[in-house]
Amino acid sequence: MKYLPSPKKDLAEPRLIFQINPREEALLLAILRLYPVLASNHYQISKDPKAARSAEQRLLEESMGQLRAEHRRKLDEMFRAPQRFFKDAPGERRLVLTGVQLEWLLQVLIALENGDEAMARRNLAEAIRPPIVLIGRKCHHAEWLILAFGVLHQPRLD
Amino acid sequence: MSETSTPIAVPHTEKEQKPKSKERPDRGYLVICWNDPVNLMEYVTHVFQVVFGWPKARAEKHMLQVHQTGKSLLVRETFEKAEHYVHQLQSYSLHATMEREE
Repeated sequence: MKYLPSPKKDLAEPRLIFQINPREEALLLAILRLYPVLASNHYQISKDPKAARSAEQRLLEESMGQLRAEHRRKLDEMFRAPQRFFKDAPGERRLVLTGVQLEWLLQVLIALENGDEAMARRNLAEAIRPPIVLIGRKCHHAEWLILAFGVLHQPRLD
Repeated sequence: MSETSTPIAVPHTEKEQKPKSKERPDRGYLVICWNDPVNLMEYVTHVFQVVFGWPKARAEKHMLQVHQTGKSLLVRETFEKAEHYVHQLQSYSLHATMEREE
């Protein structure tokens, strides 16, 4: 997977283009299907233990729940019509995103990474999410997730 | 990118729109970002820029503080604004909380 900087930077809504091979595409979609991993109560409004049952904590959980539902809805749209994002170009396959879509995808991927870390700490990762099997071999999704996140984050650094 | 460099709008409270007296709003709530083992340093900088509209240098200063000392006090704000910022930071999976200033 590789970021392809676009020469057309003056468009109203510039497209961000990534070269992606079929295996990476399948892997990305398989990983995104795991979302959401974290429960709403993972998020804490304060370090103060008294805040755990406060109205503000409930509001935060509600807000995170709505965000997760919105992310999930957009992911379902992506799964229904992957051709909106993944396109054929001469000699290669591309992932094409707008800035807004990239921001959304980064939020989803980082939430998955955080979920992976949280579950690993509780020794639940393997029990709940066995390694993904793609094209006959086990895939270490956490490692690939970090790699994909790094590549997708690259346009933000330019 | 234009979509990310614009700071996220903070909801205005009635108090802010109609200052009736010289009373200052209670800006005694601290928004703190805590270190975590997952988020990349560049990503944390990016999120600070998006959420607060900070220039890169300021965002990096706070990111490094989080990384080196375990936490960084980001802003001191009213209850509503602090709550808003925590929601925004958590939506980006940063470990942020709001604490009453003692």
